[in-house]
Amino acid sequence: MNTLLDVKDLKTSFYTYAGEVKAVDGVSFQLDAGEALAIVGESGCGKSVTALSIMGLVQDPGKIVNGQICLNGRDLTLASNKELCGVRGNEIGMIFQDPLTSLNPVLSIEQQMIESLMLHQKLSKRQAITRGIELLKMVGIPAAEDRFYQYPHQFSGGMRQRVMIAMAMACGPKILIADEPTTALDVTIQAQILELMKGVRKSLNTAIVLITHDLGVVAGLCQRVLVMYAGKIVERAPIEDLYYRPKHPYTWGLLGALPRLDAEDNQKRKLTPIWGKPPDLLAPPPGCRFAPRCQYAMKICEREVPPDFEITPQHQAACWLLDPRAPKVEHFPEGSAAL
Amino acid sequence: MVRYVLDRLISSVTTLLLIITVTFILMHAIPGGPFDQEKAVSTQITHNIEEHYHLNKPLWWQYGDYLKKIVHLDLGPSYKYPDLSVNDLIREGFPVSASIGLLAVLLAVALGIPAGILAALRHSKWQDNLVMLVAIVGVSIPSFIAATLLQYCFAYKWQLFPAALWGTPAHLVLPVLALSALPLAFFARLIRSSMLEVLSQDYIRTARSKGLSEAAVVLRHVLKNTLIPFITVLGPMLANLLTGTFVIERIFAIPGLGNYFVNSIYNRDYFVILGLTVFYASILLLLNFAVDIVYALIDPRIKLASKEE
Repeated sequence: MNTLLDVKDLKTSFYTYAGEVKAVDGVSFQLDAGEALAIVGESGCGKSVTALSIMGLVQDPGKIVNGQICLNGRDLTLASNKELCGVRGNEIGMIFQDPLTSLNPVLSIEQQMIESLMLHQKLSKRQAITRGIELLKMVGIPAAEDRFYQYPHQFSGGMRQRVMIAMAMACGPKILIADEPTTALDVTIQAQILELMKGVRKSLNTAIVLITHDLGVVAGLCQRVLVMYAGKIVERAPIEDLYYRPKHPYTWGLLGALPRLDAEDNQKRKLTPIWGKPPDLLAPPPGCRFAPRCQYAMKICEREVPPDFEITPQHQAACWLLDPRAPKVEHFPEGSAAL
Repeated sequence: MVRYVLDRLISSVTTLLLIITVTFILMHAIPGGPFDQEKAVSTQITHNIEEHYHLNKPLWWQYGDYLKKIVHLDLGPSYKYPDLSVNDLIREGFPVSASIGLLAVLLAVALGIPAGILAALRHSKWQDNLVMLVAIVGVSIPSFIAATLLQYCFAYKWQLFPAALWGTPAHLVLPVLALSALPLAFFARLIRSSMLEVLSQDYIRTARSKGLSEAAVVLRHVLKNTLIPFITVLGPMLANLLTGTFVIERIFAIPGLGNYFVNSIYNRDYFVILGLTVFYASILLLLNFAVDIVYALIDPRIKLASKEE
């Protein structure tokens, strides 16, 4: 597989009055062409900022302070704003969490769809309109010829997310970044949107970066998962390993908080939340950032940042429990025991 | 659409009738009449005058008589200026007030909107701070102080423009400047805050994610949304400025409507009070109607329809 996107030691900070908030603190990962990668973690752990950093869309007072983002070997952090405009919407498309607010209410779907086609593909207006209607059909919008000229308020939430996907896919990008694409939708619509993304990926061989806090959404779409916590990647694993052999206590916590239909003792089993809050990124804990909430925390966890321990070449986790000298955890915590 | 216009027309007429009625009652509720004088006047003279203007008739008769006149677009006579009817007063005063008011609004729009946009795009940089500082000064200084300062500097000290009176285009400069200060500052602040809000919307992030240049994002995606609250305030503000402001017209000795309006109340010049109120209300209703139409043109979510439809 050839590496399409290579993010190395990315650090993105927000400079606020209170000080520097290290929203993304040393994130590295690679994305192969056509691959579907998930980034999971709870709110405020730096998933979205990672995505916006890749797009070059981190707004003031945020800044990429370190690292490389190489798209086909070209470092986007060094690119000029004009070059970045040529990448956004053209080589990387993005869809967002809330389809209700992500479309401009005063412009028609037509106006919003043709602009990237005319900009990147240099289509004439007529060609762009034809292509736009094709795209609407591709994402499964009925009566696309009529709907194309309507306004966002005439579409339902699910339909708007379809329009967003059509817009993001308009120029045939190599990567589609989906930032919580299903969070604002109800469950049946969620499934439809995920199916659509799966189909798009298969037919156009687009790599997908799916950002979510919902591990259930990940399972159907992605092959590989990065678990982020407080600006760092704490575990990376192929999807099977993550669900069946998770290594990081935070991943255990996430899995434990997941409702399951297939567990045998379903009646008795309560969902286990991860107690506490993510750390204040103005002054993160000096050691492992999960240590204050971790029921397995040892002394070293509070003092030193854990390195990535390799379980298999594809599966790594940053947790001192994986050090050969550490005591072994015999059982998963209550929740994920059923896994 | 026709139905909508018709509905608006009916509701406008109802509003006007209500305004006339309330003004009529209030006007007659104020003690004193138009011909009360400190000097004693013979009862015969008083009687003749009252007879002439029908002031001795019962109030309901006067009210009905006024409505009858209004239907024929006759706003009645003035007691204070016996040679002029209220229609004449408006015909003379309105163009004067309107030319100052319109120029002031144009100036405020031409400078206030770009200033607000600049401030929003350079949020919390020096350009923003400068614009907001000037805007706060503009909002805070009362127009009579601004007017006096302008007169002192431009007319008295440097003798660039006439201090007062009416006639040549040069006479327009100082009153227009004095009158536009407040709306200019107000527009700049309004556009700035409205634009900052639009800039933080999700759909702007979407527009950027498509690779549009910042200029294209602002022109295509930000401006239209930014203008919606601006248009809301433009209607009433325009009505206000077009019909003249007493203070500015007083200071610059301009024969506009504002002057007549205030004086008519002191003089209990009943028909002038009523006539100018009706005139002002009509313009306000008309401009609000125009604002609603512009809304529907800008924002597709707004449909012009009467309630029954």
